[in-house]
Amino acid sequence: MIGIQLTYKAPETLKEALDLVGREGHQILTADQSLISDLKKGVPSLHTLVSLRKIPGLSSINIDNGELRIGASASYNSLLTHEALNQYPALAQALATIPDPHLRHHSTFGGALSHGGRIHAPVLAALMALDASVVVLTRDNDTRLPIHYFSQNGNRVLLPQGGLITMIVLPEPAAKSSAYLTVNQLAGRQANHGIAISLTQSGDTLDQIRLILAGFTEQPIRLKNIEEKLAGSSLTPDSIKSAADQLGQDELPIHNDRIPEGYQRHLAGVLLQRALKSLTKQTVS
Amino acid sequence: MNLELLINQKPYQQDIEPRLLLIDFLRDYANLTGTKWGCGSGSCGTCTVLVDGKTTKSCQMLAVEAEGCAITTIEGLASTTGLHPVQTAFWENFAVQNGFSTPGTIMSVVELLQNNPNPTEDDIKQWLQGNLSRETGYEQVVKAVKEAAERLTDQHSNGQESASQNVGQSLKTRKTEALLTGDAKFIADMTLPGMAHAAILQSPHAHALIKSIDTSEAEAMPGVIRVFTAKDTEQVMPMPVIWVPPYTESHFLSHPSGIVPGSHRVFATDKVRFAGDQLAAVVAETRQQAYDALAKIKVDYEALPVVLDPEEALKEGAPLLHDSVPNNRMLNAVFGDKAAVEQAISEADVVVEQRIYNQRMMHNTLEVRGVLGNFDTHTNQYTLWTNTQIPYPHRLLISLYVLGIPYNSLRVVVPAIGESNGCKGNLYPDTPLVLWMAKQVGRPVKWVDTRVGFSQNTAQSRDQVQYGTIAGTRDGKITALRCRAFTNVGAYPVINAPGQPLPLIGKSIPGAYVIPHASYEVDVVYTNKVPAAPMRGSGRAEAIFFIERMIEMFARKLNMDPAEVRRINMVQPDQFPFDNGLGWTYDSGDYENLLNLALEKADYANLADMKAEASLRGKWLGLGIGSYVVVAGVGNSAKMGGEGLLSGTWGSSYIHVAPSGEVAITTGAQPHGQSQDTTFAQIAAQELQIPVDYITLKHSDTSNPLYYGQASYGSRSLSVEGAAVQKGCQAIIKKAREYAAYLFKMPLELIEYKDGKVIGIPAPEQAVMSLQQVALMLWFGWDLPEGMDPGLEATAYFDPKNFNFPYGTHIAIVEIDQETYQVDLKKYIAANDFGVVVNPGVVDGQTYGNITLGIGQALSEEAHYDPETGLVLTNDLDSYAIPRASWLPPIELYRTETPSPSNPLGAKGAGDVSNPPVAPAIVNAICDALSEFDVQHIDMPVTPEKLWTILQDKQSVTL
Ligand SMILES: Cc1cc2nc3c(=O)[nH]c(=O)nc-3n(C[C@H](O)[C@H](O)[C@H](O)COP(=O)(O)OP(=O)(O)OC[C@H]3O[C@@H](n4cnc5c(N)ncnc54)[C@H](O)[C@@H]3O)c2cc1C
Ligand code: FES
Repeated sequence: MIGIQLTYKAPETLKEALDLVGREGHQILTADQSLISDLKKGVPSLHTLVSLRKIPGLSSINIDNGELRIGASASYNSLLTHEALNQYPALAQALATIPDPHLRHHSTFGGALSHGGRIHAPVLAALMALDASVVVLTRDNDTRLPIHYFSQNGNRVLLPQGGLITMIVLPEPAAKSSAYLTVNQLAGRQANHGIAISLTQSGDTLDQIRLILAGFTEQPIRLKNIEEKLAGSSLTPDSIKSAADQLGQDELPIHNDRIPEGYQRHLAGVLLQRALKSLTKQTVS
Repeated sequence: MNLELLINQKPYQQDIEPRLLLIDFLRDYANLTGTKWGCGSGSCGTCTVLVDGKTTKSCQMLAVEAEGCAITTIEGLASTTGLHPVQTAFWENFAVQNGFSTPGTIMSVVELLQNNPNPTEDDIKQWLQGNLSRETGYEQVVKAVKEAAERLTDQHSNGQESASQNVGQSLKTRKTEALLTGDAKFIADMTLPGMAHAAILQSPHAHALIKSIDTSEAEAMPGVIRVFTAKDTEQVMPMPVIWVPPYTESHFLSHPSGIVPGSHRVFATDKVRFAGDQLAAVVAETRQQAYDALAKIKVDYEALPVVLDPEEALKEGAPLLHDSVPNNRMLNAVFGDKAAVEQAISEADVVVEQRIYNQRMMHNTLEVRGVLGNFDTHTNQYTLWTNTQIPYPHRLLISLYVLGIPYNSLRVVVPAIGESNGCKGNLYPDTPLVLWMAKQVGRPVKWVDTRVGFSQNTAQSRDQVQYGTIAGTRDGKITALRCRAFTNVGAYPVINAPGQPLPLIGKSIPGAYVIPHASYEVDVVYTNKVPAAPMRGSGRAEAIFFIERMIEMFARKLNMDPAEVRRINMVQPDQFPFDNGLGWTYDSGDYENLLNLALEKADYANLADMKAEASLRGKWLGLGIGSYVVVAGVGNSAKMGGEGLLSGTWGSSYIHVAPSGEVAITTGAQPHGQSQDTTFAQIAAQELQIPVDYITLKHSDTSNPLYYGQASYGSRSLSVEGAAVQKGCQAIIKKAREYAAYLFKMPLELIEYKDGKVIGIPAPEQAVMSLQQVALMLWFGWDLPEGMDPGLEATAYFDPKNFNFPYGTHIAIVEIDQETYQVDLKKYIAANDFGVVVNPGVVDGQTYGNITLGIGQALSEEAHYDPETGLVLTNDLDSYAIPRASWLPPIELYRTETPSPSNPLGAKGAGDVSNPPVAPAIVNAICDALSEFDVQHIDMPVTPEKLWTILQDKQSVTL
């Protein structure tokens, strides 16, 4: 049961949709799960849902100019069954952490960014590791925001007012290797802790690396300082260990207070080391 | 808004509110109630349907978003040619118990098999992550899915069906088809003409004075019929308490009857004592309107300090819940000879002490509770439909002690009922309230709870702090056991509140061992938590956890093999009947045999190698044993009376053989997933030597022809109520033989009953009549012997002289990741003895369910409260984690059959008895895995973060 009265609109063009989303109390609905859950608990400021389901093309997934373009309304499942996915192991592995078929069918990439929430953390982390960009349409223009825009030090950054996400774009994978690692948590009450990593190497030297932790903060968090420290060097057991030691409060502000902070920091260190070891093995060999 | 869509290929069109969820459209507008509401938050999967072929939780989708879609619900699965292969496979594999989660699970499976015709076990468990089962667990479901895959790809060959349907055969469960097709009507699925809907206001404060309640705005809301508060219900009496231990002073609340003590009222009057205490209700035209109006009731509270911990609550100066209860102490009781135990401890070679907290659990059945009440002004009859385990006690307690109406004016009916795990075995204030409101508004009134409501008003369980001491000799013989306990019963006593913390725990702590000196002392304490009541395994679970942890610590302290220490102390086969020193007399068994069997199956001899191999993979491997013997088969009425239960506990049955030869059996049991329709029919078929198909079981309605039914709880159905069925059948045979002796003019000794016939032994060809012919002749009643009444019927009671004591040993093997501390269950072995088993398929289902629940207690489940406000924080199925399919390791079941002398069937309980060993086996395994760190004990649930916290001190973390 939803306790608040709602108006529902399902515009048929992006233009009509844009006209609505800028208004007070209007919220986009992409069939995503988080919004429906929030509505049941009550969102006092909201009175109108703007569904994107009738706008053509928003669910498509295609490759253009080497880029993988994922429509905002595309479901996780549609990407899971898309052949392009195996170019992006981090994303494939992140999606695999969500086995519930309902969530796969009804979670959307646009929803992941607009509404956030625990189940989306692995996927967002993977998109961040892959340097995705997000096409945001406003009444005036059509901008591409880097996906990192949506997470500031682990806090969620909302979409610019009146903006509408139409697409997520993944750059060509080039020689990048990537992975998403998670811990096998039995207890469902825990956040999905995991790490997304991507890197490119020249010989033993790391050219570029992305490290994104999921589940520790409100929104997945990029470990920028560690990335910078590792780039340009070659990974050794010592450098891996010292990267993990760097996970202090500045680098990783823990937001999840249901689990002791010390344990989470420890877990983050384990994930980081496992991620680095797993990928360097792949790339070195 | 206009909505058009296809459901099960049929077009629907309807004007709806945009906020309507798809589940509500399906259930309330399309009347397709096979889709169930379990959590409303996308966690449980009971609401699963297919939307354009895609598995969809219909509680998580707005109906408008399904515009133009094709929906398939459970009702659309079977065809004119029969059940869908998935439905058939579920039935054949005992994957259905009470059936509440069945439709949703089946719908998910249908999509799985469309995408993946040959799924592996792992594929199935992963796919079912979104479908919870709180009854049988997942083992039989996974088997069913595999078989369904074979059926769909034509690889399935139908097994040989056994010709015999008698005791010992896994006869397919009866009355199951309606559960598979979604046709079965649960309480939430019921409607009556003119029915109104209720919503009940719960306090958001755990302890507060009620200054005022303003209902004016709510009364003016659309559709509202009446709003009720405590000022309207002064004539309604408080809930009764029907368990008053005669051997100690107890403090309950007052009750005007003067016969029984009391508990809470239907509405809190002066103050609220737990967050969830109810204090107003709205009756409206629709459920949505009732809840919309409920949100408009304004209550002015003055918050009081909260106390949530039983030891704190006993202290001087602690917030007091009830003026009449000093120090919040309901009672203090002692079992055993404390002084002798002290003495034995002081003389022992070795003593181990440990504080154990058996955490507060939530039953969290996927089906919440609901009530439909009606009062017929023409006949002055009340009818109450509710999903309770105890319909006859409802009738008695509500009529006599709550509403003060004639017993004969109240009929209680149980519709199809979901899981209970014990929580539906209470009398809650909402139940008489709804019935009473129906009379006030002159219309049928229905109330179905919400998930948050359930978390705050439905009894929770366990929650006991135990200070344990175990003592013994250097060579491993236990000489003394002491448990000093504090039980947190929450804010009010439920009807049988003392039962669990007193005899069920107190007399059960010696477990399977000979312990010369044992004692148990408990304070049962009120706090500002939700009232507590029995839960599957109740009492015995706390006791067995206690002894199985204590004996493990004892063995480790001695540096002895824990299996050997168990062996040394176990009750031996020649010791039965065995008095355990605290009040139970164990009936029969070979405890050591099942210990040895389980150890052998677990490859115990190679444990060191297993550990070494796991260590190479960065895992600590541990093996844990949980041996148990628990009391079941409640019970001898006088013994239960001696414990303080103000009720009989005999079994009852009424057998009616119609002139057609059909046999109708009314049982005092109240099935809620235990398949009594099947097992009791098997007992009767064996006894009467007729096909099972001739036999129908009746229950779930107090207007059935039965004096009274003592219901199903504490694993009593089969061994007590089932024995009454057997006895009733024997009475039928006796009358048939006596009648035949008269007709055939032969002495009774020469009349044999065989193959459903009475036969005169001297002339078997001529002097022979089927049971049906006997029933017909007795129906005519033309020619009866002196003193014989017409008709072929019998009422039978069975009151066992003793309880029965199922037993066994479970073994868990776990691995703990040395870096992340994740606990992974690798293997689970359960060796049980439930006495003579009537239907192995049914009993296995009960066992898997018990294991699943125990895994939840060991690793994830705990009710969390806000320490400041006393609010239940785990108020949905996301924050309260119930085991999901992928958590479960391969489970191996083994069984021996040692008949119980306590009943003529030789049966022992099975419904909840195999739950108690599960949690200790797992925690023992975890402690074993960490043996190098000298970890003595870890409280449940054992989470990675707890392990990290403990091990931080004990190891230098090297990665
Ligand atoms: C007042 C009250 C107290 C409760 N107390 C407890 C409690 O102490 N502990 C607890 O866990 N739960 C308790 N509950 C809930 C209770 O656990 C469940 O209702 C329990 O599962 C009931 O099982 P049963 O009596 O049908 O068990 P059983 O008769 O043991 O078994 C369930 C079914 O399995 C089959 N079966 C059982 N034994 C055999 C056999 N030997 N051969 C063949 N088939 C067999 C039968 O079909 C039987 O109907 C309580 C409920 C109430 C109302
Ligand atoms: S009711 Fe929809 S998932 Fe539980």
